[in-house]
Amino acid sequence: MRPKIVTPTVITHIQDVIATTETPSWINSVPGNYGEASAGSLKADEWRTLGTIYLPIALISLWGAKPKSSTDSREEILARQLLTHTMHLVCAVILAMKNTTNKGRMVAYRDNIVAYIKALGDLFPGVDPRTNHHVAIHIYDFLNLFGPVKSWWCFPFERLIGFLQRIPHNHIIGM
Amino acid sequence: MSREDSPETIRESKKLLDKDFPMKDYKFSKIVAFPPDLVSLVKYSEGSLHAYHRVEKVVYARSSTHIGDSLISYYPRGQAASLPMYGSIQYIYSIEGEVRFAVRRHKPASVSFDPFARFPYFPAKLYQSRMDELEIVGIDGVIGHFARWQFTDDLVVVLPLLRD
Repeated sequence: MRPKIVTPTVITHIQDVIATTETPSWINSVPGNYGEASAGSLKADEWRTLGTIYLPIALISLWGAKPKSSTDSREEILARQLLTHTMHLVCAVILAMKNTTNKGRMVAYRDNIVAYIKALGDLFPGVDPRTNHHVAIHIYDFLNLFGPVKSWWCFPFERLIGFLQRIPHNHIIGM
Repeated sequence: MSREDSPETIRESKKLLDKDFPMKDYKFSKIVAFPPDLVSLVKYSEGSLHAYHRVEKVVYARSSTHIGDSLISYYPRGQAASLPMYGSIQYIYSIEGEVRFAVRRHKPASVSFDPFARFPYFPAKLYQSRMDELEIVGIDGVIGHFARWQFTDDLVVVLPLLRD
């Protein structure tokens, strides 16, 4: 049987990293009780902060803190594989979010996202790549065609939708 | 409003206005005596001290005001050719209107294994928790902020937050 790696201790460690990491005020906060049902679902910006700052610090300090050794237990080997896998996604997100891009960054993005998707089935038996995984590889083409993600992502439209939804109205179209 | 003989209400309103719309021209900031460690660094006994300083919408603060906003990466002596340093702003001071930071930098860690060095696109690195002597950093030498997490008693993780 596969050993369980993501235990409540791991979640507690992530929460501790969220609570104790010192960040500038322009980094928006994420729920300190991440991993608990009461934290609710995270928004895109919270996922980004969690995935590019807190999660990598927490997981590297927990699963990658000591060098590889031939005496590593099965749990330690699996934890290191999970860390490498997660870091492929973290690095892909970091590379895609840059304010400027170039051929090297685009290729590195594609390499990381492909490595992440390829290892999904090995590390999580029964989990097949989904449509979103396929679409994520096409971000490489869009980076090539349109430049940095920030110049064509849909968040400005999402904000506009939010603004329109909050306008008082009387439920009658055109009135 | 700045006159000393103005009514109490006006003087109180000025305090509130100054908080809302801080003066940009530091030439008119209040002159105070510098703390001893700053005096020995800058060789001036007085000038103006500030809680924070804004550079193109980014707020830098002294560590006693906001620890996270005080964490900066910078080029020592403004030399962009050198490697970036990571430190915490202790004082923001101005002499004759020119603003500078007095910073304590984290010393490089001498570890045989840095677990964060494995991932080139995740730029975190280990440094000593212990900080060096105060040094002067000009505004032009500042690169940006970084995040910091206490890894062990002696080591911190430093994560530059540039989205360049």
